[in-house]
Amino acid sequence: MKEYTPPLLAQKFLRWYCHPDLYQEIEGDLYELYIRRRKKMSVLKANSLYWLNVITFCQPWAWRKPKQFKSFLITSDMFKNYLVSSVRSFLKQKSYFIANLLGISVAVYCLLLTIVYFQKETRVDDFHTNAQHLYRLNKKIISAGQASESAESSGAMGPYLKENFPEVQDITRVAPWWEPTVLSWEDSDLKVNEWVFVDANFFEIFSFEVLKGNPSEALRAPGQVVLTQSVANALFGVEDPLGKSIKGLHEFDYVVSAVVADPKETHLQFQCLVAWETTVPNSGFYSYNFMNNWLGQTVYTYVKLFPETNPELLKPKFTSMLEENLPKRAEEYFPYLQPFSEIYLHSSHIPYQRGLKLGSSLFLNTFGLVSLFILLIAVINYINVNTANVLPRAKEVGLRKIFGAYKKQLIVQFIIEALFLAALSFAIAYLLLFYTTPYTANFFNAPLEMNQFLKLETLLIAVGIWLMIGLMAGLYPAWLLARFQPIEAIKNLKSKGKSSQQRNALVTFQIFISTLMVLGTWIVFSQTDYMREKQLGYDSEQVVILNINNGIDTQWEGFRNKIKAHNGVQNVSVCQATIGAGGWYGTTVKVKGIEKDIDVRLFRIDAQFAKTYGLSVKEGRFFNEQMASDSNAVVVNEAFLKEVGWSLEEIRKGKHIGGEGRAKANLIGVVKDFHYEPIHQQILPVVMLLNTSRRTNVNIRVETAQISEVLDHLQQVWNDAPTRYPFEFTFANDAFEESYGKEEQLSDTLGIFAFISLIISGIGLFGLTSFTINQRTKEIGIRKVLGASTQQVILLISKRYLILGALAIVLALPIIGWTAKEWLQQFPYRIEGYEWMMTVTAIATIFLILLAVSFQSLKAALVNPIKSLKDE
Amino acid sequence: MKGTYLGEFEELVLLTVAMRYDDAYGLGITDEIEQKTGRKITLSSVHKTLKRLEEKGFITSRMGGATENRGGRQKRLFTITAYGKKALQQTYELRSSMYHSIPKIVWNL
Repeated sequence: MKEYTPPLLAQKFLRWYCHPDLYQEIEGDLYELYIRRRKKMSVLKANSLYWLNVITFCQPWAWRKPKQFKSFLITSDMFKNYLVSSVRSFLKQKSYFIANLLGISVAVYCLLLTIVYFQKETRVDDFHTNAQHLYRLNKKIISAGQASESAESSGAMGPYLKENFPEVQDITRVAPWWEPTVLSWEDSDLKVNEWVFVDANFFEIFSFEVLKGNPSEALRAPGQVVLTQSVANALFGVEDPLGKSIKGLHEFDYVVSAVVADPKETHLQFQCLVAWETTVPNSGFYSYNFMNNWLGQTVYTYVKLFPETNPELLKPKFTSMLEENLPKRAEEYFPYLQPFSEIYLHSSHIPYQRGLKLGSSLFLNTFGLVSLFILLIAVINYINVNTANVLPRAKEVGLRKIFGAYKKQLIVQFIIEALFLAALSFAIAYLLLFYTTPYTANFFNAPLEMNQFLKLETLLIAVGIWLMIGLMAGLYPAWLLARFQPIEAIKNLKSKGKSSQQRNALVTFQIFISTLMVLGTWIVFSQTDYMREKQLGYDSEQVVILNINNGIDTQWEGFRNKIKAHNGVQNVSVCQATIGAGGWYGTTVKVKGIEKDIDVRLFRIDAQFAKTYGLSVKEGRFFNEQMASDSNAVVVNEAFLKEVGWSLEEIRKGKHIGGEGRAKANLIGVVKDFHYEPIHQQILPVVMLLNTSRRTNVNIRVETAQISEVLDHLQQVWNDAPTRYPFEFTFANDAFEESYGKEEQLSDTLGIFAFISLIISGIGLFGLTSFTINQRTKEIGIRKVLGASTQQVILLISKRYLILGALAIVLALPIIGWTAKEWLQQFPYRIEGYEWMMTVTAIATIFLILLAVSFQSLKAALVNPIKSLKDE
Repeated sequence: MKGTYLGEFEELVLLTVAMRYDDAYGLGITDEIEQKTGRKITLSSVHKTLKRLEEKGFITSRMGGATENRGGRQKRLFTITAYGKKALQQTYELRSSMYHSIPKIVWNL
C-alpha cells in the first residue's frame, strides 16, 4: 500500500486545537477519508478537502479546554500564575518597582529616539539612483607643513576629468553662491539664500524630482533658472512659472525653465538652480573666470565613475593632472574622491563647505552610545534589585521546586517577569514619545515625527529590543534563583557570595559610565562656552553690518552720510571687508627673503575700519586717508609676523611686502590678532590694505543705549535707497553664533543624558543599599549590642560602595582623558587643563555615593538594636 | 418523553449506531447515512452528534484496535445503550402511533 500523508500543517493545526480525548478518532477518520480520496482524486484536491475538514472540525465542542493549551515550556495556567506572582513581587516593593520601571522607560525612550534618528540620518541621499557610482572631488592640502582638507575644486577640473580620464563616465559641478539674493517678478520680491550654479546634466546625475519643465533642457542656456516648488509658489502663486522672466543675482534677467521639488533628505541644498553657462566667459553674462579656470577653488565637482572602478587608482593621475595644468599647486593639492554616500555624515573633518547640509557622525555615534549606556544602567538597576532581593523570592522558588518545577520553567518565569516590566516600559516610552516628539527639534535639526516610531520597521526593532531587555534583565537573576537548592531556600540560608561579587561589578560599571558621561558633558560644555566667550580680539558688541552689494554701493557716500546723521552712530566704515559677515579673500603675497608665497587673508578696508571694530594696534599705526602714501601701504596681524618671522624691532626699522615684479607696499602697522572666522578656525596671516574702489559693506558702530533707535533709523535710510533688497542687518557678535551649533547640540544632548544616567544610577544605588541593609539589620543590631558606634556602622556599610566608586573613577579617568584630548584636537583654540574638572568630578562622585548610601546606613545605624533583634 | 428528545439528525445517527452493531465509528456512520439517505453530510457534524449522544447517555464508546489504513490511529467504536434503545423505541412508537392516527381520508386526497 502506498504511503499517503495528509498536509502536515493541517495535522499540526488539528493537533493544536483538538481536545486530546477526541484527537485520535478524528484524525483517524480524517486519515481514512484522505486515503480514500487520494485514490479517487488529485493530491491538491484531496489536500484541500483535508484542510476543509480540519477547519470544519474546529468548533468549540472539539476544542481543548483553555487549560490544556500548551505553549512553549509553560501552560497558560502557569503563565497566569507567573504574571500573578510577578505582580505580587512588584507590589511588595512598590517604590523599587516604580523606580525600575521609570528607569527602563526613560532608557527605552532614549533608545527609540536614537533608532529613529539613526534611520533618518543614515538614509540621507539614499534616493539618488546613481549614489553608488558617485564621488565628490575633494583634496588634501599640505601647505607649510600644515595639512587641511577641502571639498572644493577648480571649475576646470571637472571637464578635464571627463575628457581625459577613461574611468570617468560623467561629472557635474555645483557652486552655491556666497551671498543671498533677491528674486523679483512683477510686484513680488523674494529673498533666497541658496542660489546655486549647476551643470546642465545636474538632473541626470542626481535624482531630484522635476515637477514642471524638461529636465534635460532646463539648464543648458545662460540665464536659465530652475526654481524649487516653494520658491515658485511664493513668487508666482497660482501662475505658471515656466518661461517667465525674473530678476535675480546682480540685477540680471533669468528665465524660469523648470520647477523642482524642494530638496529634503539630501546634503545638496538649493532654492534656485542656475545654468552653469551663465558664468562662462564669452558665453554667459558673467565672466567668472574663477569658476572656470584652474586656479580658483570654489566649486564642488561630483564625479560619476564607470561601475567597478577603484577610485583609489585615480590618485596618481590627479597628481599628473595638476602638474600639467596647475603646476603652482601640484605639490600642495592632493585630490581624492570621497564616496557620495559618505558626504552627509562623514565630512566633519572638512572645515568649510558652503551651502551644504551636513550631519555629524560624531553626534550620531555619541548619541547612540549614550542611550545604550543609559539602558545598561537601568537594566543593571533591575538586576541588582532582583539579585539583592533574592531571599523572599528564594522561598517562592524553593516551593515551586518542591512542587516539581523544572529549572527551565523557573528561568522562563523570571524572564517573563522581566519581559512584563519591559513591556510596561515600552508602553510608557511610547506615551512619552507621543507627548514629546514636537519638542525634539531642539536636539535634532528637524523634529522627529510620531509615525516614524510606528513604522513596521521601527516596531520590529522595538520588539527585538524588548526581547533583548527581557533576556538581559531576566536571565541572570533567573539563573541565580533557579540554581538554588530548595532546602537552602526554604531554610533561609544565605548563599550569597558569588552574586554579591557580580553585583559589585555591576555597580562599579554603573558608576564608571556615569562618571564618563558627566565628565564628557562637562568638557564639551566648557569648550563650547569657551568658544562663545573667548575674546575675539575686537569689540564686536555694538557693530551692525549692512550689505550694500545691491545697488546702494553706487551711491554709498550719500547713504553713509544719512546713516551718520543719527547721533547714536559712533563710526561708519564703508568698504569691502567685514568681521563676521565675510568680505575678505584668500590670496598670496610675496615677502622678500622668503621663497614661498605666503597665504594670507586680504582685507580691503577704509581708514575707519579699526576704529569701528575696536581693533587694537600693537605696533606702528593704522591707515590715514589724508596721507597719500597710505594708498600704497599695508597693515598686518601678529600671525603674519609669526609666519614670516619678523620681530617688532625689525618692523620699526621699516619693512615691505611684495616687490620683485609685484606691487610693493610698505608695512605701516601691526594689529593684534582677531577672529575673523569662528573660533574653530586658526587665525591666519592677515594683510589689510586701503582700497576705496570696492565698497560693498557698511560697518556701523552704534552706541549700545540707542541700538533700537539706530536700527529704526537704518531702516528708514534703507527704504529710501535705490534697491529692491529688503532691509537686513547682521550684528558682528552674532555672526559666529550659529557655527557653534554642532558643539551646542552635542553638549545639550550629553547634558540631558548625563543627568538622566546620574539619576537612574543614583536611584539604583539607593535601592541597592536599602536592600543590603535590610538583610543586615540583625548583624547591625548585634554589632551595636556589642558596642559598635554609629560611625562604625555607617563606615561598615559605606565602605564597600566607596571602594567600588573609587575603582570606577580610576577606570574612567584615563578613558575620558584620552577621548577629550582627541576631541579637543580639532579646535585650534581650546580649553586647557581639564584635569581639575576630573578631580572635581571624582570628589563629587564619591560625595554622591556617600549621599546615596549614608542616608540608608544612618537609618540602620540609629535603629534600636532591640527592634531588629527581638523577633526570630 | 421528557429528557429523551431526539433531533432528526440525532435519531439518524443513533439508528445507524444501532444498525452497525460493533462497527459504528465516525466515518463508517457517515458513509452509511450518506448511502441510505443520499444526503451529503459532513464528518464533523457526525462526530459532534456522536459526542452529544454519548453525553446524553444514549450510546457508549470504547477505543478499538488501530489499523494501518487509519495511519495507526484507533477508532472509537460506539454501541447503543439500553437507554438509547428505549429512546429509539419510544420515538418509533410515538411516530407509528401518530402515523396510524392519520384519518384514511387524508391518504385519499
